[in-house]
Amino acid sequence: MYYYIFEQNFAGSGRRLQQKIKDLIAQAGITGETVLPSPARSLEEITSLGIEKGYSTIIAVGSDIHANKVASAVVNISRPPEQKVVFGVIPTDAKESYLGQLAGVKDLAEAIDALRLRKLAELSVGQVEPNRYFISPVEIIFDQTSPVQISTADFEAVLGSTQITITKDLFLISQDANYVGSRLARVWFWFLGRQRNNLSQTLLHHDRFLLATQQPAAIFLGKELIAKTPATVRRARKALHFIVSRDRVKEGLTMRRN
Amino acid sequence: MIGNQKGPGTVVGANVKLQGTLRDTADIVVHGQVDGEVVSEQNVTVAETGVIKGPVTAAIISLSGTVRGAATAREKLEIMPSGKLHGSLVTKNLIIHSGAAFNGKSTMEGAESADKKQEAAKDNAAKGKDEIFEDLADS
Repeated sequence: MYYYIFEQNFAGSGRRLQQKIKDLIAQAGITGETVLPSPARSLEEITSLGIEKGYSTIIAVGSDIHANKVASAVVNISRPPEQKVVFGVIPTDAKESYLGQLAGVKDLAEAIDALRLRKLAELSVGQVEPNRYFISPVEIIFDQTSPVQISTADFEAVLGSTQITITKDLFLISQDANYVGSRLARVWFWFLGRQRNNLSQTLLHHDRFLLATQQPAAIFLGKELIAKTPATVRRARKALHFIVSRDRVKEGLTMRRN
Repeated sequence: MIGNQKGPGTVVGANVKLQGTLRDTADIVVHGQVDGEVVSEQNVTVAETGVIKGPVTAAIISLSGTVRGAATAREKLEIMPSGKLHGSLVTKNLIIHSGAAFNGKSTMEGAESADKKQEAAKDNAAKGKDEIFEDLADS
């Protein structure tokens, strides 16, 4: 029933941690098949293999980058509508892990307990077209302030930015670290002795953004380059059945028992 | 813009030029330039650096920047000292601070119906008195 995909860096010195996790899984009574990506088989291939074998629960064990890749593969792999596949995580750095926070788990024990109890939430994920899905936010970082054009079905915006972050729910946050505003505004705030907010911060949300820049800009998920502009980013609503902790109630997620 | 989820709303930064329709169920704050319509189910705040060329609709509108278009505030419209409104306004509760600029037609929602109710109450009171005098005359 459970198909555990370990991150590749569990090889070598990570074997001790890998064994510890396997022991905890066995103690919880949720053993299953354990696999590791290799040069011979990519992550997408082994995920696909697990689904073809009929495993209904795919668990990513490792960092957020690894978990995002597995989640993207789970969403991408086509299967009959009646074959429900559930996704879960065992984050190896739960305190820093965004997916760990989403699942409501703080350490390995809580993560495994959540898998045992199997409470599900329908998770919306972001998609960089055509087929790269993400749960952790993606980022575009510029060396200097660069013009970015953002188009949606309702509006078009042009802004200067040094960093753009897009969450899985398609909140787009832009800031310009070099923005100082007009001379008059600066003098005015100095005269008033008031702290000036960063007026260049922009927050937009929509179901679909088309991002364009003068030069192709890299879109990163963590440290991994996943796409370049121009790119279309959209929201895939309720694309993933995600295992969360019993106590976890999150806005925007539909919670149900399974 | 689709804003069905509860969230922080929309913020248009000072270095943004936006064309089109901006909609949100939550608050909208404008520091930059918007050419088009701005619609919020809650509050719209136009900051000092903000300029909107188009209609604005919200429950509460707070204007420190410039709006060239109609402003419709279901609950309250407040034009701050640095605010400028060039266009009509419709609201229940209007506050214009000293130094603000307003050029346009103002319609106070609910004012006409309130006046009519007062007149109807006076008429009823007058009719009541006439009936008493008639009864006294008959008796």
